[in-house]
Amino acid sequence: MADDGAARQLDKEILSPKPGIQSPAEGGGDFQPRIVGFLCNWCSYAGADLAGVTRLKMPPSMVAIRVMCSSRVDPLFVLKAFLAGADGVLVAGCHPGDCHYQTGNYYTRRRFALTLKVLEELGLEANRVRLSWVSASEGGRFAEVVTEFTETIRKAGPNPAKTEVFL
Amino acid sequence: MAERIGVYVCKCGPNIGDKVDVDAIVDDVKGIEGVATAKSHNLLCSADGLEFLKSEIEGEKLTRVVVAACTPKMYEQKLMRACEEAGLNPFLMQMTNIREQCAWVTPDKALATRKARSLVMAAINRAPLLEPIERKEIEVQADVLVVGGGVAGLEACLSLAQKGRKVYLVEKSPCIGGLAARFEEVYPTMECAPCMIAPELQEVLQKENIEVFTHSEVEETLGSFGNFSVKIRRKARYVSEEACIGCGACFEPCPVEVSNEYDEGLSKRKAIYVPFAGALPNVPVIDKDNCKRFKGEECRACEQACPFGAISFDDKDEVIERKVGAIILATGATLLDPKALPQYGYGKLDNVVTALQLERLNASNGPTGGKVLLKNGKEPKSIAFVFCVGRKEKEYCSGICCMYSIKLAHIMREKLPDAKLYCFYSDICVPKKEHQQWYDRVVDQGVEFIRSNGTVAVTADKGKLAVKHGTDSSGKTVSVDMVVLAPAVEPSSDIEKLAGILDTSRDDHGFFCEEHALMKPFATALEGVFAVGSCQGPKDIGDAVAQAGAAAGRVLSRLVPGEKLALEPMVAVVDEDLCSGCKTCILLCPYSAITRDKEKGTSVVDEALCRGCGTCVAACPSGAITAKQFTREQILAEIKGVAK
Amino acid sequence: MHNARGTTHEAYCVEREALSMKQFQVPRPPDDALRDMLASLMDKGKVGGVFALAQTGENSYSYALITDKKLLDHIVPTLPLMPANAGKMVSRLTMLEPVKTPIAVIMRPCELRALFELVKLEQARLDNLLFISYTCGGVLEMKTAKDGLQLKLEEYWKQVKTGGVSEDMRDSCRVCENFVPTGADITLTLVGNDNGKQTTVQVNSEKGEEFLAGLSYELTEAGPELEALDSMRKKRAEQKPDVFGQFAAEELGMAGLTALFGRCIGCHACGRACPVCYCSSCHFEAAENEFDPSTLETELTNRGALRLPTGTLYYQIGRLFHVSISCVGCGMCSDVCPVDIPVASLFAKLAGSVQGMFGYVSGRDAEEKIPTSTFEMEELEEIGA
Repeated sequence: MADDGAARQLDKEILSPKPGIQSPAEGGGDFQPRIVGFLCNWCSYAGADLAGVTRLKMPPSMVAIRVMCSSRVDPLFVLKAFLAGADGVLVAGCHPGDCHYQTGNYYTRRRFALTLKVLEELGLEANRVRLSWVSASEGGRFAEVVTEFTETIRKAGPNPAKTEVFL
Repeated sequence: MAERIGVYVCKCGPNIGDKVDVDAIVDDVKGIEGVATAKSHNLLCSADGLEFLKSEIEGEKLTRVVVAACTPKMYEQKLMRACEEAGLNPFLMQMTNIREQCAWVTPDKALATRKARSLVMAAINRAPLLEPIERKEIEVQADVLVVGGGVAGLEACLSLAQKGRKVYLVEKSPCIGGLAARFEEVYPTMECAPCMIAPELQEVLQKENIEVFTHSEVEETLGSFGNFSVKIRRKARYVSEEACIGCGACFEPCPVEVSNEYDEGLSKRKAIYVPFAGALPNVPVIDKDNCKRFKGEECRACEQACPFGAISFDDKDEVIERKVGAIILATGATLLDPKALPQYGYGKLDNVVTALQLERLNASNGPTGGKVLLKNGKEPKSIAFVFCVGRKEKEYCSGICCMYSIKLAHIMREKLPDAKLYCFYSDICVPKKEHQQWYDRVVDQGVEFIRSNGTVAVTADKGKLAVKHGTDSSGKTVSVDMVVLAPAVEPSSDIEKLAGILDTSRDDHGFFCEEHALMKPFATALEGVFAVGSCQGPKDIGDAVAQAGAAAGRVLSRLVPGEKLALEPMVAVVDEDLCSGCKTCILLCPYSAITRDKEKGTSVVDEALCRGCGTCVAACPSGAITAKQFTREQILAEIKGVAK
Repeated sequence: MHNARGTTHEAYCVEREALSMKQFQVPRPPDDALRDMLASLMDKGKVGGVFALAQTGENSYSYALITDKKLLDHIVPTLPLMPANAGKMVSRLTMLEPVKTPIAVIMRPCELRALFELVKLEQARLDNLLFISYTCGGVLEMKTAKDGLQLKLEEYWKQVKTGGVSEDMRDSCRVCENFVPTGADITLTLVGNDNGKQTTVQVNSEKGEEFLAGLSYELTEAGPELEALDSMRKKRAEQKPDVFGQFAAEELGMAGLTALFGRCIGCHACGRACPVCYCSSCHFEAAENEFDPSTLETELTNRGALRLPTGTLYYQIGRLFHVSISCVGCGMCSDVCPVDIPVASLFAKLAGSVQGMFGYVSGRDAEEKIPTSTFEMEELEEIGA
């Protein structure tokens, strides 16, 4: 893999940022949650854009990963993000019935019902994983979801996976 | 070879530049292994910016590009073109959005800078894993299959049949024209329907590049958009379309008489017949189920009567194969059988008829030559129209019944000036620019509208019909000679079979399901298969024709004779070595784009049908399916970039 | 969205009663009765072979497909051992092409359910298979086969007769409430019977009836087994706190899971033994997962140490994502775990919750869709806030 070097280097970079740029995890003592957000291209990513276009304010906690449909989000991505130390994982897609691909988000919904149930039963703080429906016109809702979810995570504290050594 | 990544952070004038410390980010990423260069630019999407990007790609010999700028929905395509012009596969560019989703929503510059940095890091992490994607084109058939020869099907045929493109029209009945050919007048123009559609029928029958298969059915379809192979069963007609001149000499001697379904059972026809006077093509058909000869009797009456030797009892069904690029379904609709709703007395009481039966009574080519008569041969002195028959049971408003009932009331008013006319309605549905005035007009003409809200019950009353309406205690009764029911419109009976053959879905009411009710009301979820007219939902003639035109336009723009079809580049691909053949992906695909390779027992994605949603990718437990441009490795790299 | 069929044992009994067309008694212990019956079926040419648990040597037991009638002596179909989930074995036999001559397959309810689940996943075919199953008293851990089996059997059959729970059973059996087979053509009602003396045989399908046609047994009324079944269900429910208690959410969490799987040696035997872990190539064993250098490096920098083999929790939780919807609670995973991690109990507990959410019981019916491969438009409103 040609990229290993780059990725390795990058990991170091992120973990020991240069002066002047703090990593979100160390926001001057206050806990700044880091949230991975999977946004579907057609509704939620557009909704997030709209939040920006209308200059809404929201915490800088969530970094978006664009996918074509919320149904592209393999629950293993959520697990991977979680085990890698993300404090929260947001998956957002079109409202049920509005999927750009007809039925994708119905499967997302069942998959996440399952995922959340497993996390809950394992005592893994299922509230760190959130599935939300945000349409392309719901810039305001998107900002609310991010704000609320950030608050939830802030209350929950840092992801315990970060401090557990032998996973 | 190590990748050479170029990182370009756009300031977007002050939009990003004032909110994010762009230079700090640029400085910060410069040292990362693999990053060959990192620069900021004031406005990458400008002509100047695009030139800059191109010269960078060439000058720095970049193998990957990361652009941090606005949302990819704005200029990703433009930037991709610039990459392509500079000789870099456009899918080797990774964009990240630091404007809408960062600069514009984070007032604190330090925090915005942090977030932007995370986004850029995630993109840099992902960049080496990007893979070049070649845009594929496939050879396609421009020819089209149209199923159903009603007004929608005719419109589709005529729009599509042009130079270099053949259209195959398959119609299950012996004639084309659909329901409209059997109406005397149509709303809102109140013009003669047969006159209106006759030119279209003639053109369809005569046009060189339209091949019409009447008395035929689609038996099988294989393949997908651009390359369907269809089998058409042309049922034996027993009358040669070439030899017959349509003189009708064969009808008279036929000893069989059966109820004529094309007159809604109001007349009799022979076992050799044309559905109604003026039906096209004007070639009779032998109804095998009723013909004496096919029941084993020695009868050659029609054959002997034919002066042209056009009749052949040895005629056999023929299965004809055609290659087409698209399929337009226009199989139309029928009316709910009101026998299912006994309160209206249909089928039990004389002179309770459906609107379609009244249409035939009113038609010059109908059983009475256009005279509206009761069973006893007299003209009715009073008629009750009952709207919304079956609306409650069907749970949808058919949308056309009010207007056609108003049309019929208007015609009856002109035809029977002294008759009392009543309309029992629940809600009057007369949208569109011309309809309301017809309602106003029949009200002016003395047609009495009574709001019965679905309470109508019809009983026999001393040779007349008692129409009771209202609730039990306050119920009132009107006595009439004839009751005309306006039953709900439902898909024609063959829709289920056709949906099965095509593997296309139907909605809760049994109509073909459109891809999107508002944005793609003419398409099905199957690429290249369209559903137009009343088979997609109840429609009047104008709407059916408009929808057919829309579908035809879609076909015209995508299937151009002699040109290849560009496929969606970001599709799913199955690694057959990893596939366990569990078919989960096949169950989930909304576009029926995945099939099973029977030999190998593994799944295969049809790139002409896949739209790249990735539903199947996430569902595959073996990780055997990859979504191009959204691979697992790419997404995990992004996660790692973000989540540390 | 809940399935009208319900999920409880009572529902099974109702279903079983509905299916039960005929019942007769054979004055022989179950294994002998089965050998007689199968020999007769083979004689008549109704079946060409028998798939059943067999004794293959001293202290050796495994599933076997037997086509030579003389070898039927080897079968021990009701011996409470499960060397492999028979559903998985039949999947192996039928995956590439269906069985051509009729085979009588004797398996436990959870094995039958695993097989039906695999049929939905195109991993097995039911053509030409006649299913014989029985109300199941559970199985003993496989290592019992090595020593002390006879001793434990005595206690085991005593419990089966009275509808009790034997302490030596697999944990997953101790809490299993799906011990009445669904989808079998013929069911022996072992629970509540004096299995040393007689065998009660129910005919559950027309196919079963066809096969048994010509066997002249006297029909009997339903015996005392319903009471015993009830008792067994109750006693098993009582075991739940003991078996599942250690997996309460508050006991687990990241720390609890790390401790629970701290002994895991990464052999993935649990997945290999799992009947519904059907992938021909396991995603979790892909090099990208196990040895991705950038991940390893991140882990090291992040945590200052790296546990090897890597990705233990990722594997275990990931497997729960993949199989909890189809898990039949057979207990194979725990039985094969070389370091005695109670995987099966954890998986069975989660399977109950996950499947319960969809009103689903895996393998109850080969025609029923797996919930993650279908959906209702109106459902799960609480998911997706």
